[in-house]
Amino acid sequence: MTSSREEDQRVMQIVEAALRKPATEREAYLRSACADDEELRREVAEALSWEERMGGFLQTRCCDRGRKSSA
Amino acid sequence: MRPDPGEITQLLQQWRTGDSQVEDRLFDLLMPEMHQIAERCFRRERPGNSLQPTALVNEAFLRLAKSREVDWQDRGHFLAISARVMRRYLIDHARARPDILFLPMEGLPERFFGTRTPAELVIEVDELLDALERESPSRRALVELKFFLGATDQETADALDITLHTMQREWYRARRWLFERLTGKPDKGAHSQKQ
Repeated sequence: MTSSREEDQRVMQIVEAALRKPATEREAYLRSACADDEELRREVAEALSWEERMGGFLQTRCCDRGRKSSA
Repeated sequence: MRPDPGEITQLLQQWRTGDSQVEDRLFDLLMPEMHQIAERCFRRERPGNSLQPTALVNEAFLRLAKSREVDWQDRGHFLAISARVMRRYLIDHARARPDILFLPMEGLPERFFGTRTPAELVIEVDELLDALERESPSRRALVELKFFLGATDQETADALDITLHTMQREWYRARRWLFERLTGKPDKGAHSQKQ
């Protein structure tokens, strides 16, 4: 784990906030949240794109899924 | 109520001396949480399986007792390894009894099964976790704590002694690493991902 706590916090806070916004508003939000930090913007955009691709992959703990799907 | 983590850390470090009182105390303190892990493993088991959560806890503890020389860091480290030992034991059990459908991977969307049988997928994931550990032991521990044990974000961060946001970022990286390999489409950008 080479990234700093502060960097992790910044990236994850922006990712979390962006994921809560409608897709159409994300680009504008990223521009505003990352200001002129191009590296940060790239990191966040990449994480968002992967989150969309992965969907809920591994997000439901393994032994709960069965209960939910059988309910 | 959770046992005192400080006491557990101390006992884990004393364990290697072979003091049986230390071992008994550790078992008493850790058994409830180990039992919860085992129960999660069994929640979807079919009735009639000869294994039971208590037997699994006992088996895991026996296996762990043989490794008491390990440099145990703390309760989180011990529970992560416990979960691994239990999962391994269940996988061995599933291999020996392929008629029993044991699925410690039920959180995976069905598209990941592809042409794999559930047992093949379980074994493949197990091998991937070994590969992940070679790259990053903490990311493997993360997957085991969060996905297999069902620990919350905060519990996972505490167990690994990292901040919540670092845990979340590492969790994203670990998920992405596994996702790329399970879908068989490693992304060109994967190598540029910060490690």
